[in-house]
Amino acid sequence: MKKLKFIGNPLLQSREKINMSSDKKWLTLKTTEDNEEFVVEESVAIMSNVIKNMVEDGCASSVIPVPRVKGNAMGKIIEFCKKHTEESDEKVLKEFDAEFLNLGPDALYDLMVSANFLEIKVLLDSVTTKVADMIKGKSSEEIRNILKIENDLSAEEIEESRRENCWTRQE
Amino acid sequence: MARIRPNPTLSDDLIREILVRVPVKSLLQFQLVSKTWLSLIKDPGFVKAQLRRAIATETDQTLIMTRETYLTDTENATLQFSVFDVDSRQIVADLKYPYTQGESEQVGPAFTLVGSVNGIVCVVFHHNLSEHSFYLWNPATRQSRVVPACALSTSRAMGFGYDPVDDDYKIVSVVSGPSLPTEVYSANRNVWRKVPDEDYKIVMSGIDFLGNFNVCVNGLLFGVKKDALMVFDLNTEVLNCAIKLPRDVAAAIAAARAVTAAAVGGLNIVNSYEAHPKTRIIEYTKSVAVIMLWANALNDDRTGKGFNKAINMWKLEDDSCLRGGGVEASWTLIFSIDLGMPTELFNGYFSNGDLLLLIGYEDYRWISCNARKKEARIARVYILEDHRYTRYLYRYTESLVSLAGFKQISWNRGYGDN
Repeated sequence: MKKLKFIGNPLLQSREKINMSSDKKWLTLKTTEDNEEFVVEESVAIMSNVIKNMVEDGCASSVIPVPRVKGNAMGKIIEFCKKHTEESDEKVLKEFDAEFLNLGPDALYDLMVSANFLEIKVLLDSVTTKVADMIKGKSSEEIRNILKIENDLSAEEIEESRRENCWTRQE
Repeated sequence: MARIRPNPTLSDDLIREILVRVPVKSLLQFQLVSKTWLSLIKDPGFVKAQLRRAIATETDQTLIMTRETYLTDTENATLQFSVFDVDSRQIVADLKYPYTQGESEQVGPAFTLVGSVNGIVCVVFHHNLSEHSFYLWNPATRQSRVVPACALSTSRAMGFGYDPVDDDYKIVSVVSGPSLPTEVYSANRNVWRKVPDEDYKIVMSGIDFLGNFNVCVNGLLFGVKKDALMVFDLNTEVLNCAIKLPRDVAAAIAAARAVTAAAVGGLNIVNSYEAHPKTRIIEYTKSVAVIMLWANALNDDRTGKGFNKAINMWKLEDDSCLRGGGVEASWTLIFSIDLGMPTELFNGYFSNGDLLLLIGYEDYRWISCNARKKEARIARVYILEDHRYTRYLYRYTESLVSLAGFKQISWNRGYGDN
């Protein structure tokens, strides 16, 4: 069943419906992985460089298909972009971002990968900064566990690195 | 911390985006995560990107500072390099030394901190009046290397800076004298070069005292001497001493000279020295500014100790005069604050709209001058109450930058203990 989502206050939905015929441009974004549709103002959607290019190239007809991004992530992304389009106070935005990024690791991860794919610089900056904060100070072993990375270093590489940087583990 | 869902395709560019935001010390540890992470962290492009971002997002400025020690005072000297956080006004790290434990006896305790740029610090140790050892040092990665020897005269100005055009780190030594003999060391070429006399721009006559080059901005080294700016272009290696300081500085110097002349006729000689303005050049919003402490009224406002002093700060309006071509420097007075007491100026640093000054006679203290409000107040600074400790104030940014020939500094356990 297709779901048509208005992002924003449900009380405003009727007003938004009326405004749809005004000079504000609206786009429909459809996540192709799970077929969710989102109606968004163009000014909000073009925070994504990828969508911006599609609009400028004139191929944004009625519905823009967005691969690789799940509906959940798309919803969060639109929420972020909307806030950043509406609000200009740096302080307010900073507080919003901190609250917004209070997510579980899976959701944070999805958001990061999606922001990277959609080329939303501001969001990518915020998420990667948060992830960097989360991993700093951890040992390489912990990093490997958290991010499921295989240790493929040779014995010599490990030995050399250990020798150079043994002091970082002592302090 | 809970596990992030395993994803074999955490792309390289995403890893880069995350790691460029991670502090240097963690990055050094993360070299042990995997081959990809190791090669990324060592990649020169990544090192530059990390540095660029660190400088651009620097909300908290840190300075590297140290005690000044003299050959005549080596008994009382203790080697100490520290990182000072401007915002919290505290020492946040004590760095050990640029040399390995085995070399400690050879270097001795008399040294000068020549400069700091892009996370690389230049220190020179003085063995005696003519033998010196220069070190280029990255305290964050604990790597360093010795620079080939150069015979230096004691009466010289020194500076260390970065040339962005050739991606080179250079040390400059200018000796006082009519022709200002200048030698430049280039890290890329790993050799000292004497700058030929013809390469100089107009040199003002009567240069007899040189300050150090305290500031490196946009590939230029800046120092101040009497009433002129010394500007050394790190790329063209040309020294320009013909850029005049604000007219008021010249007037203050002239007035002080008059006092000195009168001093011969009976005024207190000590007071005539106090009348001489102290000038310092500082980095100011991507360009430079000059701060001057001088007696605001040479005749009337003398207290028992000496002349009451005022602090003036001028910013350089336009950078075009710096590249030669005879364009006259134009300075704008930003503020003039009457301190209402006699004092001495040691150094200054501009950060977040406030000018931090180290002043004092026996009691050294920091004051904070607010340019907008035109007021000065004592700044609480949690630091050793020793003025020699803050003689040098160079901006310091941790980086991964590694120069050719850098070796790991290895010490026994004692190195890392604070």
